[in-house]
Amino acid sequence: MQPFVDFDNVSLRYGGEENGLLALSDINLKVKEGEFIAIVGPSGCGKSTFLKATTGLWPVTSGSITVNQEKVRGPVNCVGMAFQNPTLLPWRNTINNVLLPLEVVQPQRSMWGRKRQDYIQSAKDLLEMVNLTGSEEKFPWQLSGGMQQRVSICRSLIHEPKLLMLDEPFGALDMFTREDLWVALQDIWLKKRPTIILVTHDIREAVYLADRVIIMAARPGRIVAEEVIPFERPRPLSLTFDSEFGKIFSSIREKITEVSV
Amino acid sequence: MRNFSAILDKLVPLFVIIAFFIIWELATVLFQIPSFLLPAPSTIFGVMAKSFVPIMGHAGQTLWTTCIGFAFAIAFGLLGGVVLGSSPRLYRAFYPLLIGFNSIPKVAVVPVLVIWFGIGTIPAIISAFLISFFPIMVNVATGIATLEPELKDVLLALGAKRRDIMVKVGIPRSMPYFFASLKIAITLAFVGAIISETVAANSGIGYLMVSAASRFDVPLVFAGLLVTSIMGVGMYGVAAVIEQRTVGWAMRSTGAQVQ
Repeated sequence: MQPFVDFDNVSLRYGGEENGLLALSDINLKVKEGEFIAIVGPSGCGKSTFLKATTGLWPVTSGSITVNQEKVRGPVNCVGMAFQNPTLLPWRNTINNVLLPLEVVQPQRSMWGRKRQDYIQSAKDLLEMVNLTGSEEKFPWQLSGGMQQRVSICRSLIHEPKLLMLDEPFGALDMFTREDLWVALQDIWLKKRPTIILVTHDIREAVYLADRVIIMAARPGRIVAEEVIPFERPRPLSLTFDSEFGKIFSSIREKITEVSV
Repeated sequence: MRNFSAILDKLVPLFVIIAFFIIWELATVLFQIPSFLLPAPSTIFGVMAKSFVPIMGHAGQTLWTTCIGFAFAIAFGLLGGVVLGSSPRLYRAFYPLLIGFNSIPKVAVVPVLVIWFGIGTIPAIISAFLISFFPIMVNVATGIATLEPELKDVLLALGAKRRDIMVKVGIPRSMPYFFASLKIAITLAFVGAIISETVAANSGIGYLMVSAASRFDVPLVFAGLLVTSIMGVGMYGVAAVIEQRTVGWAMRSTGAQVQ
């Protein structure tokens, strides 16, 4: 089967072919459709550049990226994205923030008038999955940081993207909220099965959520190792205290330490 | 008790204004200041009552020239702000030229306007426009240019065109900046219109004050000043109310965040 996301010898240099900063070097990576992968590594290892390259927001210098059997040339349509910063629109309430992508992306955009009620219903269903029922009419300033992040994740999912890119979405949250959202994200993924690429600093998060953890090193950003996470789904939170989990965690931690020095 | 302090909060500005006039009145009496130097408020109010109709006529002239110039400033300021804000390159290219234009004292432009358009209403409208256009445009451009890059990425990755980003996010986001600039620009627009009227006009508050001053009718000059400031406060109030109604979200989002 063709991989859903395929990086073929990708290098990316910021600012000039010759002497620019080499942010990604010879990346080869295949992600299957419906797979959940996590990318971890020290800061400055080009994780965010990786996201920009995948979505076509920044052109690669050499090599090629294929997403959904099409070579990436410009911005890829139909990708959902969420970042560390929730970036909600303060003048819209929760439900209208979630609906934003449907006003932009095709084909939903042209059916906006007719299917509006259906869209609102699916936004409500998503909000229910992240325990935000009752907050539909609230504005971002009335929500806590964790709630805003939930809305942001719903927004990235509303148009049922085949590919979901998450750039440290839980980075700014406290541990309890973060763990709640891990569980919620796993539920959503099990139900809808998008392909997810999660960029994170948090090794526990990566091991708990992903099928496969990719370890990157910095300067230049490159893939140094990968670890397949064998645990069954759905994974309970208590798994993070399991000794097998601990072993995988330490092995990844060691690999990152090796490449950091 | 809370109700009482809320009412007090609303009334305090009024008390301050009344106290200001009382102190002014007392000072003129106490220090025996002649009314051709500094007329007492009671004298000024007397003049205003006596010449109510002519003053209102001049005030009306000033108000409508100001409003027309201001309306043009809003239209062109919004348009220019959207264009400049959407392209950093255009912004950089035009900024020095715009700064240059804006640094020219508008009073120096009025004689040129008189040569082009004659005396009266049109130079007043144009100088009101010229002086109030710049802050509106720069504010709108800033609001659009400071759009979070992540949000742009989210929309681009959905296949949004530049126009979508502008309509869905850029313009709504710049509205608080726009209204903040309106409050500055409306008072500047009065300055522009009155400057032009003092130099070249047969009506308007500026003309009224200059002609009164040449007759040493100082109380009438002060009546003109007072009327101008009342109109300024009124227009500022209108801008502030519209701001509250339309972009209240921008003001609430800073203070009342639940953590």
